Amino acid sequence: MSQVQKLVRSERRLMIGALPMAIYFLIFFLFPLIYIIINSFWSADSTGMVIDRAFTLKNYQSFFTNQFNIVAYLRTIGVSFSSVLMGIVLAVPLSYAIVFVIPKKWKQLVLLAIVTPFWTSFIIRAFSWQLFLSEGGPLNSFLMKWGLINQPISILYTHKATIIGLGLFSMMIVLVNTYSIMVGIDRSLLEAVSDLGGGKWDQFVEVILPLSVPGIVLGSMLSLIICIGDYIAPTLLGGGVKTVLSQLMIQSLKSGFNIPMASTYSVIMLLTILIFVLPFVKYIKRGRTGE
Amino acid sequence: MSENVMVRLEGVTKIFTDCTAVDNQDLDIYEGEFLTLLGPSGCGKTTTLRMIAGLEIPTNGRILIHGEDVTFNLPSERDTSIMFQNYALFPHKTVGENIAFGLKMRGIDKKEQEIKVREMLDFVQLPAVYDRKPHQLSGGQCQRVALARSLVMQPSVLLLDEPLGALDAGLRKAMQLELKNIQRKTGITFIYVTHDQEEALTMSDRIAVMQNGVIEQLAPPSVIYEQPKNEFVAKFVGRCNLIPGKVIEQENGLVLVSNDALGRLRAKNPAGEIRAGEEVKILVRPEKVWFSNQNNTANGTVISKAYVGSRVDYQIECNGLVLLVEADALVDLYIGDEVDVCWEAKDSIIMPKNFCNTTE
Repeated sequence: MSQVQKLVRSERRLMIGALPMAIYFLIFFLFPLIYIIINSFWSADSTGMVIDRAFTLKNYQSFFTNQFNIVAYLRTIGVSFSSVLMGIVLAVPLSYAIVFVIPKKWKQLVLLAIVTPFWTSFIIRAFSWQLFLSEGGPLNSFLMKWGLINQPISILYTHKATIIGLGLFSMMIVLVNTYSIMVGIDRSLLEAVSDLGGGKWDQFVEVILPLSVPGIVLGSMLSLIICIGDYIAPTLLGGGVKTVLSQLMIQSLKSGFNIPMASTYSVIMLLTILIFVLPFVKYIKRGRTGE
Repeated sequence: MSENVMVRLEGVTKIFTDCTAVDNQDLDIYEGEFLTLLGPSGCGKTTTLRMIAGLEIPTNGRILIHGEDVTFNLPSERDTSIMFQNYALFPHKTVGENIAFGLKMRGIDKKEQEIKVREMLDFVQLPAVYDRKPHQLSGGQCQRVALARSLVMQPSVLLLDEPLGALDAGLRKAMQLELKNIQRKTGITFIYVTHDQEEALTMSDRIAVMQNGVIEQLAPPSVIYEQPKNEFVAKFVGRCNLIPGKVIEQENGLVLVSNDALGRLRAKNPAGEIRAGEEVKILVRPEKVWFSNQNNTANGTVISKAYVGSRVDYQIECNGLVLLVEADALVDLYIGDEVDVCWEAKDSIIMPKNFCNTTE
C-alpha cells in the first residue's frame, strides 16, 4: 500500500471516529440554529400564542426602525468592547508580571489566585460584585476611608459595574492565553535585547508584546463573544434599566412570548458576533500557516 | 595579534543554588585573539561566556574589559556582543529589523541604520534577505544573520556560544573557515564556546580545556593535542592509547618505561623531572601508530576493523592490551591477522599519574 493510500485510509478512520460528534452537533446545534433563523422570518400575534408561518421581514423592520433597539444595540457593542479592552489592559501586564517578575515559587499560587474565582458560577460572582460595589460596600468605604471620595459613588446598577464584571472575566480569558505564550518565549530573545543595548521596557515592547499578539487576539475574540451575548452581568450589575441586546431578547420572550421576535434578536446578535470575530479567525488562520 | 589584554577574569567563581559552575577562574584573553573554551556539557564554559557578556553576575571575582572593571555592568554597558546557540533572532521582525535592532537601541537614525545593515548583509554574503522573516531562512542563513546582528554593533569582543551546533557537517566546516576569516578581517577578539574538539583545534589561537568549572589546560591547539597536560585533556581533544607502566630510568630526554604487555617503551616527558619507579601512563595518538617492526615494536592480533572512508580504524590486541590504530585506507588487514605495530618514541608522551584525573 502506498503512503498516500495509507494516509487516505487513516483519515477515513478518523472521520468515522468523528461521526458521533458530528451527529451531536447536527441535532443539538445546527438544527436549532436553522430553526431560529427560520423563526425570525415568521411572526406572532400580540398574545404570542398564534404564529403566522408566512415569510415576513416585519421583525427586522421593527428592530431597525425602533430607536430604542438601535441604542440598546450600540450600547451592547460599547459595553462589550470596553469590557474586552479592560480585560486586555489588565491581562497583559499581569501575565508579564507572573511570567517574568514574580519569583518561581509564587507563580503557581498567583496564577491559581487569579483563575480560581472563575470556577464559581457566574451568577454567584455577580452577586458578590453587587455586595462589593454597592454604596455601603467595601469599595466605597475603602475609597472614602482613604479620602479619595467624599460621598459614595454609584457604580452598581450602571454599566460601569457591567464593564467591571465582564472586564475581569475577559481579563481571565486573555490572561490564560497570553500567559501560555509568554511562558513559551525563549529567554535568549530577551537576553539578546539586553545584549544589543535594550532595557526591560524594550524587552516588553519589542519582543514580549508583539509575540503575545496572537494570544491577545484569541483571548479577546473569545471574551467578545461572551460579552455580546451575556445577560447576567448587565442585569445583576448593570441594573437592567439601560437595556442591552440580550435583555431585549429575554423581554420579548417574557412579556410578549414572541418567539419570532426573540429569534430575530438572536440572529442579529449572531451576525454581529460573526462580523467582529471573522477578521480574528482570519488572523489566527494566517498565523497558523506561518505568515 | 598584539599582547594587550582585552578581557581578564580574576578569581571568577559562579555558584548556582545546587552547583559550582565556575570555580575561581583566572584567564587573560588578548586583543584580536580567537580563544576557545572547550569542554563537555556542564563544565562551566557557557557560564564563563555569559558572565563576560553580563548575562550572569559572578558570585566572586572580577571581570575586566579594556582594563575596566565591568563585573556588575549590564550587558548593554559592555563592549561585547553575544551570539546565541539558537541564534535568538526575533521571529516577528524581518532580517533587516533584526540586524538594525542594536542600532535602533543606540538611537541611530533610520537611514543610517539601513545603510549599515545592508553593508553588513553584504559582508556576511546574504544580500537578498533584507525583507525576509527568520523562519524563511535556512539554518546557515540564520547563523549569518545572527553574526551580522552582533557585528554591526562593532564590539571589541564577540562571544559565540556553540554557534555551529545546529548546522549539518558540511555547512559546519564551511562556516568554521568563514568565521575564522571574519575574525581575521575584523580583528575582533572572539571567545568561542564549543564541545567539539575538532572545531576548537581548527579555529582557535588558544584553547582553554575546561572541566568541572576549572581550566585544565590553556594552550595553542597543537600543544593541547600533542602535549596534553593530563588524561582528561588528552581524551577530550582526540582519541588516544594510554599505556600504563612504571618508570625505569631517564635517558637523553626520553623516559624508559616498562609495561607488562609490551615490555620496555621509550617516551617523551614534557612535564620535567620524574622519579624511577613512578607509575605513569604513556599517551600515543592512534594516527601515530603504524604497522611495521621498528623501535617500540609490539606484536598483536587484529580484533576489530572499522572503515571510516579516508582511513581504517583497527583494534590490535597485544598480550591483553588493546591498542587503537588509525591506518591508511590502503592497509588491508583482516580480523585475526597477526601484525607488528610501532610508533616513534617522540610521538609518545608521559602522563604522570598524579596529574591524571579520576574522571573516565
